[in-house]
Amino acid sequence: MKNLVLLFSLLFAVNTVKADQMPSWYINVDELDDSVQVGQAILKIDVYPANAKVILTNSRTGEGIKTNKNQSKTEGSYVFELDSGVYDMTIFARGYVSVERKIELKSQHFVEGHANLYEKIQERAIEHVVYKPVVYLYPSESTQISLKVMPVGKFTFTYPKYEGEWLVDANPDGTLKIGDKSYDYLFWEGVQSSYDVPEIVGDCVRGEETVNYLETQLDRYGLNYREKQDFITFWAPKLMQNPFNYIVFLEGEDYNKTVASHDCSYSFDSTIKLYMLYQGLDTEVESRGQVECSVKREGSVYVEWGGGAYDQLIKEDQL
Amino acid sequence: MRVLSVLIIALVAMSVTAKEYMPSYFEVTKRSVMKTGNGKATVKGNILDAHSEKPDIYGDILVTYGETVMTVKTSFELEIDPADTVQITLSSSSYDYESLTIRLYDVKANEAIQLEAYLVMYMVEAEKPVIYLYSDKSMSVDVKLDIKGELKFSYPTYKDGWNVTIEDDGSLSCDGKSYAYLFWDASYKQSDLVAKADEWIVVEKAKVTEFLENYLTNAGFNDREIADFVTYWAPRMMHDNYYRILFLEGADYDRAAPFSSSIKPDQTIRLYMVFEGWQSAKPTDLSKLKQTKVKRLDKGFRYVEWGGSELK
Repeated sequence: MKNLVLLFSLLFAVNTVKADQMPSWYINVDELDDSVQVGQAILKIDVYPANAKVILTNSRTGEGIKTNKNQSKTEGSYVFELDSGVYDMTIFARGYVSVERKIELKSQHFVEGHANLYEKIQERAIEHVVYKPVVYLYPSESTQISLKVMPVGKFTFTYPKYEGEWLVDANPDGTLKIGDKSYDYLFWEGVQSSYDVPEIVGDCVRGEETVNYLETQLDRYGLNYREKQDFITFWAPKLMQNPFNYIVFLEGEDYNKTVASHDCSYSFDSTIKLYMLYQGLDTEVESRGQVECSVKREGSVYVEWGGGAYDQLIKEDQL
Repeated sequence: MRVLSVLIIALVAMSVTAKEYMPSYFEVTKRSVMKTGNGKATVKGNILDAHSEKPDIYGDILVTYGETVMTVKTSFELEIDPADTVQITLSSSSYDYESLTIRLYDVKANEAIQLEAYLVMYMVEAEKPVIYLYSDKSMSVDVKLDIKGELKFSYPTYKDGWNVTIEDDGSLSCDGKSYAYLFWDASYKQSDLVAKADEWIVVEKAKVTEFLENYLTNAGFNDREIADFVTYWAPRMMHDNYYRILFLEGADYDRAAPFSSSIKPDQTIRLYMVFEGWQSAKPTDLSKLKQTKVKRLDKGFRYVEWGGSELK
């Protein structure tokens, strides 16, 4: 028997996850074994914790090897007799971080590996980032306006700085003055634990159709070219990375309840509040359309838009 | 029969949702113990780009083994001492590749080891460069960029250039629609943006917003552009205790994305920020920072652009 062993080492540092929280997978032995038939291979896997399960899928045929077939198991140890080839392997246990790897089993080889799963960190409170709500104000005449925003979650960043309120000198052309500085909009960003979405309507949109789709929708909701461009240049590069996105717009009262309400000293003729939730998808799902637009843009206008990713829009069983 | 064993250490970050990511790796292709020799072992390695479509490694690779450091291009040969564990590090002198630590176990005297190292190139996203065009008179202009990286998204759509009319109200007309600015983003090789000798500025988290405001004001940006810049980047610079920041201006920016326009601007202001989260007990003394103050013109044709990249 040759004592050639496939060796490699993968090591890389991670910003946020500590090393001891990562799953690890080692191959201890990968060697030619004359007692194994040509075209076959034996894979032995030791797992921790002992109740961890192993799923192997033949990468070429897609055939899955789950339990009881060609497999013997003693506590914490599996032995598979398999056709040689490349397999997608998943090792998992409830409460632990899964290992997912591709593994190549060469003909007549005996391979022995160890999987060491680590416990998931205490289910962290999931925080959803409320991205970039920006507020534009277009009063009928130049006037001082006090604006209070009450987010469902909390602020993480504001610009200009929010100090119990924003107090601005607003002008009909949309420029906002605070002291000697001028702004086009008021910006905040926040986090909240979930979105209480009233009713899931929405559209499934192909990644490359993102820009056309958003242009059409934002026109419908009455955003002007500047607001529209700010929105599209912020979101399109993110959404276009996904094959599909399920997109839900929340507007008006739904925005107030789900994301943030506001209190403004000036009474605007129309108030447009628009929030986009999206979920990236690999496959297409049925579109159900967006809610009717409740506001017509006219006279003095308040505009606020924001958005965020939310993976609870389409449940797994709907995919 | 002897079996060499022990080998793969895979410490891989697996956040559940993270996309599949292949780090730099290596494969031992041959190990054999010679009958005679000087008692040392030898390692011969080929260095390859892990992306098969780019077989050539870019720039120099530093090979480090103990006190030995050598600069190589595509292969190396080392004499090493037999040991239970031998560690060799490959790193890119241009920062273009993720470095790789090669660990060899149970290295015997007179052993010859051959391996292939696959290095993964870092790609950097050039995010949101936006171009503002101003003119006191309505005018049409062609703007072209020569982007060294790969253009990924543009809005309005970049079609071998933008043909833009600056309207009296300041809006930009392009293909029959109105825009407030021109937008593009791209993917870059790290060394297209960052050179080794560049001077970084280290800023405390709490001072980032104020620092950016001051720096951009001095660089000639107006309130609106500063607000666009700060609201885009500052929320992403609130996580680490310090941030290490590099500004590319003028010729440095042109190195990565030269632009040309059919009418020469009376004033051009371009600023690109490269940054990364940093740990440092020694933030830069910002009061000693030398920055030339740019006087912004309020007439004529003005071209203003900013963008940035976060290194990961």
